Amino acid sequence: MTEPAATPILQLDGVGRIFARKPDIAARIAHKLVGSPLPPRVRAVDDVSFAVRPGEVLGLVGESGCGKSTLARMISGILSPSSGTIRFQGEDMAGMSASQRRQAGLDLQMVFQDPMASLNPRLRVVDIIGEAPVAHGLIKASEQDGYVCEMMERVGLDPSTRYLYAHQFSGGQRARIGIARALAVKPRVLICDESTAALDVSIQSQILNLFMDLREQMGLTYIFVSHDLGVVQHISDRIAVMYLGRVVELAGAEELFADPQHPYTRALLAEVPRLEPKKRRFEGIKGEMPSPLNPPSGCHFHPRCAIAVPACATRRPALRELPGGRLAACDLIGEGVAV
Amino acid sequence: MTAHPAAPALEVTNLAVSFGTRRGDLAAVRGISFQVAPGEVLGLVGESGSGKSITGLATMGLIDPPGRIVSGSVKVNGHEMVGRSEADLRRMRGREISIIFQDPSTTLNPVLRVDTQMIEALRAHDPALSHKAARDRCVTALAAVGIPSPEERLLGYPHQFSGGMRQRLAIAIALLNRPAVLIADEPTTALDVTIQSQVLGEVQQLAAETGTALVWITHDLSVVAGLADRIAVMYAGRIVETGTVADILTDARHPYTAGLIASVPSRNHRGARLAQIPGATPSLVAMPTGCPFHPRCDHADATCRAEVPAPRPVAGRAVACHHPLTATATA
Repeated sequence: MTEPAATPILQLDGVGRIFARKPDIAARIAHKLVGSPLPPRVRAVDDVSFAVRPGEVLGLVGESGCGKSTLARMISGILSPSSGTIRFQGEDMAGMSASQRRQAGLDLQMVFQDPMASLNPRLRVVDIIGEAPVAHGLIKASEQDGYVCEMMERVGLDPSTRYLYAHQFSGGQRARIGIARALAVKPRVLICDESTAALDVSIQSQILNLFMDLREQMGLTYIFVSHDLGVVQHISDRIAVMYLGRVVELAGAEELFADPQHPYTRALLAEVPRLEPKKRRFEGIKGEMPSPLNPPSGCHFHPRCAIAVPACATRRPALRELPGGRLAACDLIGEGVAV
Repeated sequence: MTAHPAAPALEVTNLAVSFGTRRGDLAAVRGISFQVAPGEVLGLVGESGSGKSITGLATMGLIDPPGRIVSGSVKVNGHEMVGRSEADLRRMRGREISIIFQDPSTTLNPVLRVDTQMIEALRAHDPALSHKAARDRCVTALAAVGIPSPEERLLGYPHQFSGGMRQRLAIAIALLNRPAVLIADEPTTALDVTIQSQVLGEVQQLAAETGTALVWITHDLSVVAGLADRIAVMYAGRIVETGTVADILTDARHPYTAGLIASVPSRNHRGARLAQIPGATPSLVAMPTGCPFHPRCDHADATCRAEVPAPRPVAGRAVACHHPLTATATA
């Protein structure tokens, strides 16, 4: 699956993000004088590295709190990483000039989960979609109307509705408006954060088909974030599985689903409700997701892992390459342990 | 177990619910009938606006004005629920029929300790129960839904529980008085996959042990696929197809059911175009004439546009369609 030929459009090296409340002056003094603890810090994303090839669809999956949305926001430039570098077309995004930065901002567009929260309720659709391309000089103001019609047709909306407001559309149509808004600035990468999660199944399939059509027509690259493994499996070329801020497995979609390697991936795939008419006993991975404020030592998954050994509690497993070019962060794989 | 044994625990007949608005009455549920036997699990599946949640609320007698039950009957263990006084209904709820909702934080009182809420629920139906006996039953109930160290957790407040634990708490309270029927309205939709699976496991086990009839309302066919005995598919306020899980999932006869199953990503070849149902679900204000599905249906003809199809037996299940599919091509 991996042809190393094409240069990556996105390259992440050791990207991390820490969220912390800024200690006030009293807390800082107390910390200096008597060593009282500073406010807790959450390592939402911890040392994530991977590359995305042009035209690829990379799926990011994980349960709530695993850092997938934070990572997506860093890639889109909404958040800056606390550590590590994100390169877009070979350029470090942190070191870009203002004009490069602006261009990168246009090239990396996000499509959000809740179109009602991300679309301005006081703007007509023609402005929601057309404002940014005019402001950034991609089109002239006089061309806005025609350009918006073109964009709306491309995502399957009726252009005659362009003077309506977002609330006058159905959920599926709003999702399409959100996509048209992102496409209007001619992006190269679409970052979809749970973009179909709020939609009904029959509407979801329409939107997923639209994503795949756009990919073919415009050669887009996708980062597709979702908690729905079925959706990610369907649309992705490669999938990164995250757990408590770390990528625990990264492999081609087919290989990952056919033969998951990491114990967490295995457990996760086993829990997915399947559309099979067979009564099954639901078991669940033992235990709960630990708090990201205080993650377990060593391998974050070890308290819930069926095959953990004592060393797992102290040693952080590196994401290493397995036969077939896939990656997994578990020291026990290939050690003769029945995973 | 579906061999139509003794009396059904829940029997809904021709239930219709409407909401009065300035634009006239909106019929959210348009005459549906189903039965659930003790110990049986019925999956009530539909997309947003199909009337599945309203059906759940109506069986509990929880429809508030401007909504009202226009016609039909809901019998729980043979007792009619429709038309009862509020005081009567309060006695029935919790003891005969219970409900769990998608978001447990809306049903738990945030300022009362868990034990206060649970003991209150027990003593409301059995004032003679001693405080100590009630407390013991609460501990057992929490342990039964897999909450660790139940004695300590009883002293906590709902906000001290995680999402999955809070949903277990809601389930424990709903089952405290061993109701004959439990309505579950999307209780796992907000949970992560691994937690959902734990909660499904607890409910499955409890319903089997206590012989509670379970109605599982969901938009997600794959959840009920592993859980339910039978599935009823709702569309625009009507049940369009009812049958065993195997019949519905492998051999759907209503075009909507077939389309819904075909559009689930895992049923499709990876990367191929997904099968899709054109259009969107109709709005209650502008319901199409005849079969509500006809504008989105490939097989629709003049009859479909004129007449509402009544459910009729087709290949061992009930299908409300003028032209049910013959042999399915969904797989």
